[in-house]
Amino acid sequence: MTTRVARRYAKALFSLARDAQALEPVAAELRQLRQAFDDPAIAPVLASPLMTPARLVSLVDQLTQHVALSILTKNFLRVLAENRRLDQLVGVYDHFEALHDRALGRIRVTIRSAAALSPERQREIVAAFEQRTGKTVLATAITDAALLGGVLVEAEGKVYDGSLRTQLEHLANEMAGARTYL
Amino acid sequence: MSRRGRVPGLALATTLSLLPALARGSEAAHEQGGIPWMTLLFTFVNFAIFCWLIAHYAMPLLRDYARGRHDRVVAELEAAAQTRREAEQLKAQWEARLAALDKEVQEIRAQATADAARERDTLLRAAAKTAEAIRNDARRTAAQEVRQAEAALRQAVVQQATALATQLVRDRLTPADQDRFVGEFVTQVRETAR
Repeated sequence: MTTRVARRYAKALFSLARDAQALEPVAAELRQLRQAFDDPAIAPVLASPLMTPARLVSLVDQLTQHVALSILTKNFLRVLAENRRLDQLVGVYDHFEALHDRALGRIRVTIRSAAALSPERQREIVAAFEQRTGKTVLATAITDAALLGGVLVEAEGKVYDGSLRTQLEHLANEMAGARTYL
Repeated sequence: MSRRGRVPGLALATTLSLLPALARGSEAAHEQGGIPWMTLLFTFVNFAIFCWLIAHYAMPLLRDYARGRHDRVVAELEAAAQTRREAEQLKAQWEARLAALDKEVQEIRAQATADAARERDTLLRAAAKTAEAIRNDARRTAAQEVRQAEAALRQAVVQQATALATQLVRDRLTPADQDRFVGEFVTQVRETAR
Protein backbone atom coordinates (compact mmCIF):
# COMPACT_ATOMS: atom_id res chain seq x y z
CA MET A 1 0.00 0.00 0.00
CA THR A 2 1.43 3.33 -1.01
CA THR A 3 1.69 6.11 1.52
CA ARG A 4 0.97 9.75 0.90
CA VAL A 5 4.72 10.49 1.02
CA ALA A 6 5.43 7.77 -1.55
CA ARG A 7 2.73 9.13 -3.83
CA ARG A 8 4.17 12.64 -3.58
CA TYR A 9 7.68 11.46 -4.53
CA ALA A 10 6.26 9.27 -7.28
CA LYS A 11 4.34 12.20 -8.79
CA ALA A 12 7.46 14.36 -8.74
CA LEU A 13 9.59 11.67 -10.39
CA PHE A 14 6.85 10.91 -12.92
CA SER A 15 6.63 14.57 -13.86
CA LEU A 16 10.39 14.84 -14.34
CA ALA A 17 10.59 11.59 -16.35
CA ARG A 18 7.70 12.62 -18.57
CA ASP A 19 9.34 15.96 -19.25
CA ALA A 20 12.58 14.13 -20.08
CA GLN A 21 10.59 11.63 -22.18
CA ALA A 22 12.17 8.85 -20.16
CA LEU A 23 9.16 7.20 -18.62
CA GLU A 24 9.95 3.69 -19.81
CA PRO A 25 13.67 3.70 -18.80
CA VAL A 26 12.93 5.22 -15.41
CA ALA A 27 10.14 2.68 -14.83
CA ALA A 28 12.49 -0.16 -15.73
CA GLU A 29 15.21 1.20 -13.42
CA LEU A 30 12.72 1.62 -10.58
CA ARG A 31 11.60 -1.96 -11.12
CA GLN A 32 15.19 -3.14 -10.75
CA LEU A 33 15.74 -0.98 -7.68
CA ARG A 34 12.47 -2.15 -6.15
CA GLN A 35 13.63 -5.75 -6.34
CA ALA A 36 17.00 -4.83 -4.85
CA PHE A 37 15.62 -2.62 -2.07
CA ASP A 38 12.90 -5.13 -1.24
CA ASP A 39 15.65 -7.57 -0.25
CA PRO A 40 15.20 -8.56 3.43
CA ALA A 41 18.90 -7.92 4.00
CA ILE A 42 18.82 -4.37 2.63
CA ALA A 43 15.42 -3.01 3.70
CA PRO A 44 16.18 -2.94 7.48
CA VAL A 45 19.44 -1.09 6.84
CA LEU A 46 17.70 1.59 4.78
CA ALA A 47 15.07 2.09 7.47
CA SER A 48 17.52 2.05 10.38
CA PRO A 49 17.50 5.22 12.53
CA LEU A 50 21.25 4.75 13.06
CA MET A 51 21.92 5.61 9.42
CA THR A 52 22.57 9.31 8.93
CA PRO A 53 21.53 10.94 5.64
CA ALA A 54 25.21 11.24 4.64
CA ARG A 55 25.80 7.55 5.20
CA LEU A 56 22.63 6.70 3.29
CA VAL A 57 23.76 8.79 0.35
CA SER A 58 27.12 7.07 0.46
CA LEU A 59 25.42 3.69 0.57
CA VAL A 60 23.22 4.56 -2.41
CA ASP A 61 26.26 5.67 -4.37
CA GLN A 62 28.00 2.39 -3.65
CA LEU A 63 24.92 0.35 -4.54
CA THR A 64 24.33 2.15 -7.83
CA GLN A 65 27.97 2.32 -8.78
CA HIS A 66 27.85 -0.91 -10.72
CA VAL A 67 24.33 -0.48 -12.09
CA ALA A 68 23.62 1.49 -15.18
CA LEU A 69 21.11 4.11 -14.01
CA SER A 70 20.03 7.34 -15.57
CA ILE A 71 21.09 10.61 -13.95
CA LEU A 72 17.45 11.28 -13.11
CA THR A 73 17.07 8.03 -11.20
CA LYS A 74 20.40 8.43 -9.43
CA ASN A 75 19.54 11.96 -8.31
CA PHE A 76 16.13 10.80 -7.20
CA LEU A 77 17.69 8.09 -5.06
CA ARG A 78 20.06 10.63 -3.49
CA VAL A 79 17.13 12.89 -2.68
CA LEU A 80 15.34 9.97 -1.04
CA ALA A 81 18.50 9.17 0.95
CA GLU A 82 19.01 12.77 2.08
CA ASN A 83 15.41 12.92 3.25
CA ARG A 84 15.59 9.47 4.85
CA ARG A 85 12.81 8.20 2.58
CA LEU A 86 14.55 5.24 1.00
CA ASP A 87 12.13 2.93 2.78
CA GLN A 88 9.38 4.44 0.60
CA LEU A 89 10.94 3.25 -2.64
CA VAL A 90 8.58 0.29 -3.06
CA GLY A 91 5.56 2.56 -2.67
CA VAL A 92 7.11 5.09 -5.03
CA TYR A 93 7.54 2.41 -7.66
CA ASP A 94 3.96 1.15 -7.29
CA HIS A 95 2.48 4.61 -7.65
CA PHE A 96 4.86 5.51 -10.46
CA GLU A 97 3.69 2.43 -12.33
CA ALA A 98 0.08 3.39 -11.74
CA LEU A 99 0.71 6.90 -13.06
CA HIS A 100 2.64 5.44 -15.99
CA ASP A 101 -0.15 3.03 -16.82
CA ARG A 102 -2.75 5.79 -16.59
CA ALA A 103 -0.68 7.99 -18.86
CA LEU A 104 -0.36 5.21 -21.40
CA GLY A 105 -3.98 4.15 -21.08
CA ARG A 106 -3.30 0.68 -19.81
CA ILE A 107 -4.33 -1.37 -16.81
CA ARG A 108 -2.81 -4.28 -14.98
CA VAL A 109 -4.91 -7.34 -14.32
CA THR A 110 -4.17 -10.47 -12.37
CA ILE A 111 -5.64 -13.64 -13.81
CA ARG A 112 -5.99 -16.51 -11.35
CA SER A 113 -6.99 -19.88 -12.70
CA ALA A 114 -7.32 -23.34 -11.21
CA ALA A 115 -5.06 -24.77 -13.90
CA ALA A 116 -2.48 -23.14 -16.14
CA LEU A 117 -4.12 -21.23 -18.99
CA SER A 118 -3.27 -21.85 -22.57
CA PRO A 119 -1.82 -18.80 -24.37
CA GLU A 120 -4.95 -18.61 -26.47
CA ARG A 121 -7.27 -18.52 -23.47
CA GLN A 122 -5.06 -15.90 -21.80
CA ARG A 123 -5.19 -13.75 -24.93
CA GLU A 124 -8.96 -14.14 -25.03
CA ILE A 125 -9.23 -12.95 -21.44
CA VAL A 126 -6.94 -10.00 -22.12
CA ALA A 127 -8.91 -9.12 -25.22
CA ALA A 128 -12.18 -9.36 -23.32
CA PHE A 129 -10.94 -6.95 -20.68
CA GLU A 130 -9.47 -4.61 -23.25
CA GLN A 131 -12.86 -4.55 -24.87
CA ARG A 132 -14.53 -4.01 -21.53
CA THR A 133 -12.22 -1.23 -20.26
CA GLY A 134 -11.10 0.30 -23.52
CA LYS A 135 -7.51 0.19 -22.25
CA THR A 136 -4.43 -1.87 -22.91
CA VAL A 137 -4.26 -4.76 -20.50
CA LEU A 138 -1.04 -5.99 -18.91
CA ALA A 139 -1.86 -9.39 -17.49
CA THR A 140 -0.17 -11.42 -14.81
CA ALA A 141 -1.29 -15.05 -14.73
CA ILE A 142 -1.28 -17.03 -11.49
CA THR A 143 -2.27 -20.64 -11.00
CA ASP A 144 -4.40 -21.14 -7.88
CA ALA A 145 -5.67 -24.70 -7.31
CA ALA A 146 -7.91 -23.49 -4.45
CA LEU A 147 -10.27 -22.07 -7.08
CA LEU A 148 -11.16 -25.69 -8.00
CA GLY A 149 -12.08 -24.64 -11.52
CA GLY A 150 -12.73 -21.60 -13.67
CA VAL A 151 -10.95 -18.27 -13.50
CA LEU A 152 -10.85 -15.11 -11.34
CA VAL A 153 -9.62 -11.76 -12.63
CA GLU A 154 -8.66 -8.71 -10.55
CA ALA A 155 -8.74 -5.48 -12.56
CA GLU A 156 -8.90 -1.84 -11.46
CA GLY A 157 -9.82 -2.77 -7.91
CA LYS A 158 -12.64 -5.07 -8.99
CA VAL A 159 -12.87 -8.85 -8.88
CA TYR A 160 -14.50 -10.75 -11.75
CA ASP A 161 -15.07 -14.16 -10.26
CA GLY A 162 -15.80 -17.14 -12.51
CA SER A 163 -14.35 -19.75 -10.17
CA LEU A 164 -16.05 -22.98 -9.16
CA ARG A 165 -15.08 -22.35 -5.54
CA THR A 166 -17.18 -19.21 -5.41
CA GLN A 167 -20.08 -20.86 -7.20
CA LEU A 168 -20.01 -23.67 -4.67
CA GLU A 169 -19.93 -21.10 -1.86
CA HIS A 170 -22.96 -19.36 -3.34
CA LEU A 171 -24.74 -22.66 -3.64
CA ALA A 172 -23.90 -23.52 -0.03
CA ASN A 173 -25.12 -20.12 1.14
CA GLU A 174 -28.39 -20.55 -0.74
CA MET A 175 -28.87 -23.99 0.73
CA ALA A 176 -28.10 -22.74 4.23
CA GLY A 177 -30.42 -19.75 3.86
CA ALA A 178 -33.32 -21.57 2.23
CA ARG A 179 -36.49 -21.99 4.32
CA THR A 180 -38.22 -25.31 4.78
CA TYR A 181 -41.75 -25.82 5.99
CA LEU A 182 -42.16 -28.80 8.26
CA MET B 1 -70.55 63.12 99.20
CA SER B 2 -73.66 61.18 98.09
CA ARG B 3 -77.13 62.02 99.17
CA ARG B 4 -77.22 58.85 101.15
CA GLY B 5 -74.13 59.93 103.06
CA ARG B 6 -75.34 63.52 103.62
CA VAL B 7 -78.64 62.68 105.31
CA PRO B 8 -77.16 60.75 108.22
CA GLY B 9 -74.47 63.49 108.56
CA LEU B 10 -77.10 66.24 108.89
CA ALA B 11 -79.06 64.15 111.30
CA LEU B 12 -75.96 63.56 113.33
CA ALA B 13 -74.99 67.29 113.35
CA THR B 14 -78.50 68.37 114.35
CA THR B 15 -78.62 65.82 117.06
CA LEU B 16 -75.24 66.85 118.42
CA SER B 17 -76.19 70.61 118.43
CA LEU B 18 -79.28 69.80 120.41
CA LEU B 19 -77.43 67.63 122.88
CA PRO B 20 -76.70 70.34 125.60
CA ALA B 21 -80.30 71.54 125.69
CA LEU B 22 -81.59 68.05 125.64
CA ALA B 23 -79.19 67.12 128.45
CA ARG B 24 -80.36 69.91 130.67
CA GLY B 25 -83.98 69.16 129.93
CA SER B 26 -83.48 65.49 130.53
CA GLU B 27 -81.80 66.07 133.90
CA ALA B 28 -84.54 68.39 135.00
CA ALA B 29 -87.20 66.03 133.79
CA HIS B 30 -85.55 63.12 135.43
CA GLU B 31 -85.24 64.96 138.63
CA GLN B 32 -88.90 65.80 138.42
CA GLY B 33 -89.81 62.19 137.63
CA GLY B 34 -90.42 62.67 133.83
CA ILE B 35 -89.22 60.90 130.64
CA PRO B 36 -85.41 60.22 130.44
CA TRP B 37 -84.86 62.04 127.21
CA MET B 38 -81.07 61.87 127.31
CA THR B 39 -81.02 58.16 127.60
CA LEU B 40 -83.39 57.88 124.71
CA LEU B 41 -81.32 60.30 122.72
CA PHE B 42 -78.06 58.48 123.28
CA THR B 43 -79.69 55.24 122.42
CA PHE B 44 -81.10 56.78 119.28
CA VAL B 45 -77.72 58.29 118.36
CA ASN B 46 -75.96 55.02 118.94
CA PHE B 47 -78.47 53.29 116.78
CA ALA B 48 -78.10 55.93 114.08
CA ILE B 49 -74.30 55.58 114.09
CA PHE B 50 -74.65 51.84 113.89
CA CYS B 51 -77.02 52.18 110.98
CA TRP B 52 -74.69 54.58 109.21
CA LEU B 53 -71.69 52.28 109.72
CA ILE B 54 -73.66 49.36 108.41
CA ALA B 55 -74.93 51.35 105.44
CA HIS B 56 -71.56 52.90 104.68
CA TYR B 57 -69.19 49.92 105.05
CA ALA B 58 -71.02 46.65 105.19
CA MET B 59 -73.72 47.20 102.65
CA PRO B 60 -71.43 47.75 99.62
CA LEU B 61 -69.53 44.59 100.41
CA LEU B 62 -72.70 42.63 100.80
CA ARG B 63 -74.10 44.20 97.68
CA ASP B 64 -70.98 43.34 95.63
CA TYR B 65 -70.89 39.84 96.98
CA ALA B 66 -74.52 39.32 96.13
CA ARG B 67 -74.11 40.79 92.67
CA GLY B 68 -71.03 38.64 91.90
CA ARG B 69 -72.79 35.58 93.12
CA HIS B 70 -75.75 36.44 90.98
CA ASP B 71 -73.54 36.84 87.92
CA ARG B 72 -71.78 33.56 88.57
CA VAL B 73 -75.01 31.74 89.01
CA VAL B 74 -76.35 33.25 85.80
CA ALA B 75 -73.16 32.33 83.89
CA GLU B 76 -73.20 28.80 85.23
CA LEU B 77 -76.83 28.47 84.32
CA GLU B 78 -76.08 29.67 80.79
CA ALA B 79 -73.10 27.29 80.48
CA ALA B 80 -75.21 24.45 81.75
CA ALA B 81 -77.91 25.34 79.26
CA GLN B 82 -75.34 25.47 76.44
CA THR B 83 -73.90 22.13 77.49
CA ARG B 84 -77.35 20.70 77.59
CA ARG B 85 -78.13 22.03 74.14
CA GLU B 86 -74.91 20.52 72.77
CA ALA B 87 -75.62 17.22 74.47
CA GLU B 88 -79.08 17.19 73.03
CA GLN B 89 -77.71 18.01 69.59
CA LEU B 90 -75.12 15.23 69.89
CA LYS B 91 -77.77 12.89 71.07
CA ALA B 92 -79.91 13.80 68.09
CA GLN B 93 -77.00 13.18 65.75
CA TRP B 94 -76.23 9.80 67.26
CA GLU B 95 -79.86 8.86 67.15
CA ALA B 96 -79.93 9.82 63.49
CA ARG B 97 -76.77 7.82 62.82
CA LEU B 98 -78.09 4.84 64.70
CA ALA B 99 -81.25 5.08 62.71
CA ALA B 100 -79.19 5.12 59.45
CA LEU B 101 -76.69 2.52 60.68
CA ASP B 102 -78.43 -0.46 59.19
CA LYS B 103 -78.67 1.18 55.85
CA GLU B 104 -75.02 2.23 56.03
CA VAL B 105 -73.95 -1.30 56.97
CA GLN B 106 -75.85 -2.65 54.02
CA GLU B 107 -74.28 -0.12 51.71
CA ILE B 108 -70.78 -0.91 53.03
CA ARG B 109 -71.43 -4.60 52.61
CA ALA B 110 -72.68 -4.09 49.06
CA GLN B 111 -69.72 -1.88 48.24
CA ALA B 112 -67.28 -4.42 49.71
CA THR B 113 -68.92 -7.20 47.72
CA ALA B 114 -68.73 -5.17 44.53
CA ASP B 115 -65.09 -4.27 45.22
CA ALA B 116 -64.21 -7.89 45.87
CA ALA B 117 -65.92 -8.98 42.67
CA ARG B 118 -64.13 -6.29 40.71
CA GLU B 119 -60.80 -7.23 42.26
CA ARG B 120 -61.43 -10.89 41.50
CA ASP B 121 -62.20 -10.08 37.87
CA THR B 122 -59.05 -7.95 37.63
CA LEU B 123 -56.93 -10.73 39.12
CA LEU B 124 -58.49 -13.28 36.80
CA ARG B 125 -57.84 -11.10 33.77
CA ALA B 126 -54.23 -10.50 34.84
CA ALA B 127 -53.72 -14.19 35.47
CA ALA B 128 -55.18 -15.05 32.06
CA LYS B 129 -52.96 -12.45 30.43
CA THR B 130 -49.87 -13.78 32.22
CA ALA B 131 -50.76 -17.32 31.29
CA GLU B 132 -51.18 -16.29 27.65
CA ALA B 133 -47.83 -14.50 27.71
CA ILE B 134 -46.17 -17.56 29.20
CA ARG B 135 -47.77 -19.74 26.54
CA ASN B 136 -46.61 -17.36 23.80
CA ASP B 137 -43.09 -17.29 25.24
CA ALA B 138 -43.03 -21.04 25.38
CA ARG B 139 -44.24 -21.22 21.78
CA ARG B 140 -41.63 -18.71 20.66
CA THR B 141 -38.88 -20.51 22.56
CA ALA B 142 -39.91 -23.83 21.10
CA ALA B 143 -40.09 -22.34 17.61
CA GLN B 144 -36.70 -20.72 18.09
CA GLU B 145 -35.17 -23.99 19.22
CA VAL B 146 -36.71 -25.76 16.27
CA ARG B 147 -35.29 -23.10 13.95
CA GLN B 148 -31.87 -23.37 15.55
CA ALA B 149 -31.90 -27.13 15.30
CA GLU B 150 -33.08 -26.86 11.72
CA ALA B 151 -30.33 -24.35 10.92
CA ALA B 152 -27.68 -26.50 12.57
CA LEU B 153 -28.90 -29.55 10.68
CA ARG B 154 -29.03 -27.60 7.45
CA GLN B 155 -25.52 -26.25 8.06
CA ALA B 156 -24.19 -29.74 8.67
CA VAL B 157 -25.88 -31.02 5.54
CA VAL B 158 -24.57 -28.08 3.51
CA GLN B 159 -21.04 -28.62 4.81
CA GLN B 160 -21.21 -32.26 3.92
CA ALA B 161 -22.64 -31.51 0.50
CA THR B 162 -20.04 -28.81 -0.15
CA ALA B 163 -17.23 -31.10 0.91
CA LEU B 164 -18.57 -33.85 -1.33
CA ALA B 165 -19.01 -31.46 -4.24
CA THR B 166 -15.50 -30.07 -3.78
CA GLN B 167 -14.05 -33.56 -3.72
CA LEU B 168 -16.06 -34.53 -6.81
CA VAL B 169 -14.85 -31.45 -8.67
CA ARG B 170 -11.25 -32.15 -7.73
CA ASP B 171 -11.56 -35.79 -8.79
CA ARG B 172 -13.53 -35.40 -11.96
CA LEU B 173 -12.79 -31.97 -13.36
CA THR B 174 -11.00 -32.43 -16.66
CA PRO B 175 -8.88 -29.93 -18.59
CA ALA B 176 -11.70 -29.74 -21.07
CA ASP B 177 -14.10 -28.71 -18.29
CA GLN B 178 -11.65 -26.08 -17.10
CA ASP B 179 -11.28 -24.78 -20.62
CA ARG B 180 -15.05 -24.64 -20.97
CA PHE B 181 -15.35 -22.67 -17.73
CA VAL B 182 -12.75 -20.16 -18.93
CA GLY B 183 -14.54 -19.86 -22.26
CA GLU B 184 -17.85 -19.20 -20.49
CA PHE B 185 -16.15 -16.60 -18.29
CA VAL B 186 -14.73 -14.82 -21.34
CA THR B 187 -18.14 -14.86 -22.96
CA GLN B 188 -19.76 -13.38 -19.86
CA VAL B 189 -17.13 -10.62 -19.63
CA ARG B 190 -17.68 -9.74 -23.27
CA GLU B 191 -21.45 -9.79 -22.93
CA THR B 192 -21.42 -7.53 -19.90
CA ALA B 193 -19.03 -5.16 -21.71
CA ARG B 194 -21.64 -4.44 -24.37
